[in-house]
Amino acid sequence: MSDESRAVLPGTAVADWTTRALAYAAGAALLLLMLLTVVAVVMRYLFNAPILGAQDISELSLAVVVFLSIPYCGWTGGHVAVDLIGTVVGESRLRYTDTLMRLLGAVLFAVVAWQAMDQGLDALEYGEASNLVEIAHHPFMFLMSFGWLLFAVVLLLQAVAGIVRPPQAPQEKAE
Amino acid sequence: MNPTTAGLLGLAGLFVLLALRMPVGIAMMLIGVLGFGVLNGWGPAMAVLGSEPFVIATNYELIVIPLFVLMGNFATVSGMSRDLFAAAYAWFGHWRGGLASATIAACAGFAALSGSSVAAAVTMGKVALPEMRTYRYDPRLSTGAIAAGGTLGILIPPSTGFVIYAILTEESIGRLFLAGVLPGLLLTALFILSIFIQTRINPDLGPPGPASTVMDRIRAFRQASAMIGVVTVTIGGIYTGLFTPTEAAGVGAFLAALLALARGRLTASSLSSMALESVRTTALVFLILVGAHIFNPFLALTHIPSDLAELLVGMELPRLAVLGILLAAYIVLGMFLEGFAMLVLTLPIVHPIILTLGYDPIWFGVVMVIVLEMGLISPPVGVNVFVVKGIAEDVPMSKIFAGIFPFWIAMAACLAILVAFPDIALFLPNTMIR
Repeated sequence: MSDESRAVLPGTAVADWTTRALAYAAGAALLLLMLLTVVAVVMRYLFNAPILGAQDISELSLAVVVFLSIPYCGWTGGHVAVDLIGTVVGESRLRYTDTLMRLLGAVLFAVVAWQAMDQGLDALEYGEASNLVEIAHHPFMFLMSFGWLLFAVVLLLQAVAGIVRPPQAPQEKAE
Repeated sequence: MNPTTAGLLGLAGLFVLLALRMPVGIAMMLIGVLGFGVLNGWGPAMAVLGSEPFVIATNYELIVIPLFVLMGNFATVSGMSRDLFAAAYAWFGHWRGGLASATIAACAGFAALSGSSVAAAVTMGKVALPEMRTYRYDPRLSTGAIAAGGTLGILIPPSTGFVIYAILTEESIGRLFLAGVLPGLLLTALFILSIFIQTRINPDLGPPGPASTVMDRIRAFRQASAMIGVVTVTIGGIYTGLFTPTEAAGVGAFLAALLALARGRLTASSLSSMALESVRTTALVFLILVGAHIFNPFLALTHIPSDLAELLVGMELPRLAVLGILLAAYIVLGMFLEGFAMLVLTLPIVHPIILTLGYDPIWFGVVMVIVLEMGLISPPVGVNVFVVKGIAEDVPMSKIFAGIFPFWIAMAACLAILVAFPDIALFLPNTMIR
């Protein structure tokens, strides 16, 4: 988001800070995940002593990385979109459809967050946990729900910003 | 509602949303859940929204994605690209068009550390373009070589394209990675051959640089050997069955981090911006995967993919003709669609067709990725072309596209060779130790 929209919408500064802070947390989790993988390999081959539950911990770390970074990716316009129409129709004409798409997305992810919360509550009730070492699943499902909710907020803010000010083209990114 | 009608409506809805620039992952989730609700009831559809993302984000195999992304970013930060180019330069620089060939070779080396074509083009472009400018290379050749060489990023393992293909088709990530190795080297050789032919016809395109002494060559090679070590450990580890792809990615990322640290490139600011970039890429890949895992089951419920496959087989066309039509369609689609989007949107329909025709799905994965590479450098939306344009701002787009064309032909030749000799792709995965 550019500085202009930050000035227009009071919520943007907060969203900017929050998504970035969570992305840093995701980055830290990713570095730990890397170290855990290396240590697990070294323990298995050099000391013949595999870490019990390394796989469980890795899997749940991946969930942390993914759900803490999706809002940041959305906020910085990183999610892949197909921008063919932008080359034919002018950007300013697309602001209303862009806003509509973002609103649809916001509604969708609000529902997804609610469903994820439901999953978490179920997991809590039935005591769902990982296989080898028993790590409870529900905190990670609540985290997932929080990630989706924040993503919905991001889309909502972008929808409003798009009406207030002509939107930028969604950035294309291929890896 | 009749499943086929629901499916056709769903596909139409998906195309409308995509055309209106809704991100691919979101559009697939939205249409997927609506279609699922209509066909199987809203209760199950809602539950899928809650559970499926968690299943994907805790899939052990998929840890390979962020870890290889991290490895590529550490490699970028470490400045290894400069060493790679210097080594390739010392060996090929005195050939006609030698700097362009060196760029291709260095791109191939970088591709073995990074699964991203954009990253390969950006990193090598920054290093190689100024050099080629100094030696008065025609910008057509220099920009074309960087844009094309960069695409090797998704063919030579690690490759995000292969991981996505593997997950969508339930093939082995390790086997796909290995399948990319020899075709990657073949394409590298064809690119260099193309430069050789181009400079033969028009020597002004790329004048030879100064020759290096034997000592220089050995020194440059030694500088780059750290990178060769990392590649040997990761890809060799997968081939010998020592590591799972996830473990190889973790170890590779760690080694690349050590290299960056040893070179004094790993500062607090480079580490934090790199971490942000890595999780951002991870997020975009996973949102698409989540979308695909909600949309594709809906599409399977409509029987459209299996009906289409049956229809095609019923026509009793020679299978080579069907393959030809598919590849031609992909090349055209690749001109307009982003690579990931194309994979995710078309595979549920094309994969059953390929299996029905009796083609090896691992081999087809390699062919698909080469077609994606062609899309990366085709007008009008070739991503790598824009990347190169960003580095060489003064070169007009038309010139870049003109420079790319000979490399595009090399890719088409590579495809033809792979169709004729599928073993080039299948040899390594078929001999890997598990």
